Amino acid sequence: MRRLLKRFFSNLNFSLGFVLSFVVVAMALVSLVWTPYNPNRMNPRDRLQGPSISHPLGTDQYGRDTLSRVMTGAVNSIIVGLVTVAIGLTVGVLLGLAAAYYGRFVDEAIMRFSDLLFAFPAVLTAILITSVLGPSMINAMLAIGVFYIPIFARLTRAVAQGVWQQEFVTAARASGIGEWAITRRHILPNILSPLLIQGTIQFAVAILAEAGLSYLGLGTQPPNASWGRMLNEAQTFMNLSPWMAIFPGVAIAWAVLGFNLLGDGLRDTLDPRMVKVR
Amino acid sequence: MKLQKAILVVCIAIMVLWGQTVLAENPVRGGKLVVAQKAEPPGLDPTSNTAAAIDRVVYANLYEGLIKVDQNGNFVPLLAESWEVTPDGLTYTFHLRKGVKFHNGEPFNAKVAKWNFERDMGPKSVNAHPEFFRGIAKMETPDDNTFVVTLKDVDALFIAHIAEGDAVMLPMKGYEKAKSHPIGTGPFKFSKWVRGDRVELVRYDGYWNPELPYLDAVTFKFIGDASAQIAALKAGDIDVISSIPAPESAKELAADKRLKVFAGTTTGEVIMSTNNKAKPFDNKLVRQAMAYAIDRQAVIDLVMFGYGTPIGSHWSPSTPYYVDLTQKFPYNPKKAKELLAKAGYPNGFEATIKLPAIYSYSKRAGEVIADMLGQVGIKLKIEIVEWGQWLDRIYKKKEYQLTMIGHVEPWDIGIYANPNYYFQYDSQEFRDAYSKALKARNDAEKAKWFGRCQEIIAEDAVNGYLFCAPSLPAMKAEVMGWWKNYPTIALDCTQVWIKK
Repeated sequence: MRRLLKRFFSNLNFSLGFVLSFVVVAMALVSLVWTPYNPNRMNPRDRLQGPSISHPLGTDQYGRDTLSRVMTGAVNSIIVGLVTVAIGLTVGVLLGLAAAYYGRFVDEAIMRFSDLLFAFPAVLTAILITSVLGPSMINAMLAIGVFYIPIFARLTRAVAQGVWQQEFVTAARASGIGEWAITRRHILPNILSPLLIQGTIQFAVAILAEAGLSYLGLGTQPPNASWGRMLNEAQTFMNLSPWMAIFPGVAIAWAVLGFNLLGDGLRDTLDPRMVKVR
Repeated sequence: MKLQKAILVVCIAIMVLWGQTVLAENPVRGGKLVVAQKAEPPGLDPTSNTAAAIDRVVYANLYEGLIKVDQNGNFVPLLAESWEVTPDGLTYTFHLRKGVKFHNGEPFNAKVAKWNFERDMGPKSVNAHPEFFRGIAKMETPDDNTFVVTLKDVDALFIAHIAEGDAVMLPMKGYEKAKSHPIGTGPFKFSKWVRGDRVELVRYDGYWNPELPYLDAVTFKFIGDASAQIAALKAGDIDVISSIPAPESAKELAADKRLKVFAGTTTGEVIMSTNNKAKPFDNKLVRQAMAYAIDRQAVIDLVMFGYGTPIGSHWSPSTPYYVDLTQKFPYNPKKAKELLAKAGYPNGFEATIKLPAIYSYSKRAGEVIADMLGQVGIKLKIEIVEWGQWLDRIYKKKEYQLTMIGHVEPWDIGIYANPNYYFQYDSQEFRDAYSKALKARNDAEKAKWFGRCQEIIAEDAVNGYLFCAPSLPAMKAEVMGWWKNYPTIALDCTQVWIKK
């Protein structure tokens, strides 16, 4: 275990990504129990302030504390990341496994369905779904999650097909173990690492997508804080108080970079092909 | 000694002359003005379409009516030099101005006025408000300059209505093409309309007042995007923004020494519309509690950056007969909680406020109000709806509890007399007061009953009365005579001039 950790942390991408994402997660966890101010409480006297000791990241046009809002925005982003990846993983892996196992008609049907979903541009699909169902955080998560299904389905199918042809699976079959047990004991553990890598990267993409939808007014609804919404509110105040736009922007860049690097680092260390190259 | 005296005299003379040139501010003739406006009008005939964008281009600039609304909201003579009303309030005698000619040379006289009103009220009327004229029993033209109108019943708003763009005078020949080639009696005549871009008006040399207009030409340029308008003003491509769409940029523009910004009043009341039949808002105590929980000045500061005037009822301070009711429910969260407890909600309640997506002031005001009501225990869930949905679900089908919107029409308090209007406010007391106001025969009576109407809806806290939207025109510092207040829907350039 210690050796594995050492291998991870000797990778620069992973270390950097870990530190960046750790800050985001820690910030989110802290905000659950404590924020410097109530993130939604308005304060007419303190609006549009720059960074100061009482408001380290300044305040917005309603006098709300930007640090508190960035912190609760992190919770929002992480929830969106977790839920969307969970939707994509559960449905996608089941479909992928089914395609790999049954092959032929089922495989064909599932993969063409994936192609169909893929054919729509991701953000447009999300906008379509949220404008039909109405703008809300839950619908935004649903929209992004649905788009993730084919990504995980394809990945699972590709890797699982390879594993089914391995000799140890044939051996397991020969020894009379049921198909479901084989899937559980042999196939799943062997496809776990590519799924973990993909999941981390999709996590970062989800944060970006939610910020985009909220920026367009289709994601998180006021008064709740979301980094994308904060950017949207800040844009007409760019000349008066650029701080309002800078900090949520930095937060989005920070989190997306962090989870992307983490995903890259995981791939570098876990992907057998990459190891061989070294 | 003599030399000293001479120098003194010269000095004084220089000071006096200098003082005159600087302080007198006599209007100068000449110059071309470019005015930016958000929306392009769908046509240029205000007697056939209600769109505000039409009036903004043509009212008082190109077309004139018998009476005009000036920048203080008063009804002043225009094509009618004066008018009298009989004591029974039924017969109006208008004394028309002599020597008025339309841009195409046709004379304006009592026959033309009668023909115009007949056209507006007739069965084939294309007017957006034929009801303004349908109270007319008969019209007489004893001579060319006297026009007598007799009403079927007293109508306190008759003068207010015929001062609007819907009642401007068109020529008997050449009126058919008014939508694209308008002909009026105004100080400017139509020159060119480049669709999608601008309408150009030029000075009419035959204008009945030889002193006016001061400008040689006025161009109305249509720029939809707020930041594009501001960029064009800063670059000097336009001279005036008729109303700054984003109040936060007003401070920035006002700080620019080359520009100036006016923060006057309009007839637009921004209110938190309340469904008076939806629970728990059917309870007057709940509505009054909300009125106490709203800090109007803070709303203006947070939403409009301090631009705007607090109101206490559905009446703009720039409209005559205004009664200041802002102190009826002064900000007092403690009292709000007491009233809520009295109404049976000691711990508050939850409700939904639906905000139209297209208006940023309304979304912002909704957020601010949600925060304020939250402090007394009323938890508002914010729902942003598209404009089409707002019109259908909220305005038409009344499927809402609270919403936020600006009511821009002047003299529109009559909407409270309609129990089927989207407020669902049903009060016999108000309907009686309003019909008395409409039948008022003189100013004192009008002031009394229109004032009473304002008081009744304020007392009932029918809606959350927040603020009167600011006019917020921004212009180059050398533009003089632009209206500070917008008491009617108009951008009157008659007396605008450019300082050299």
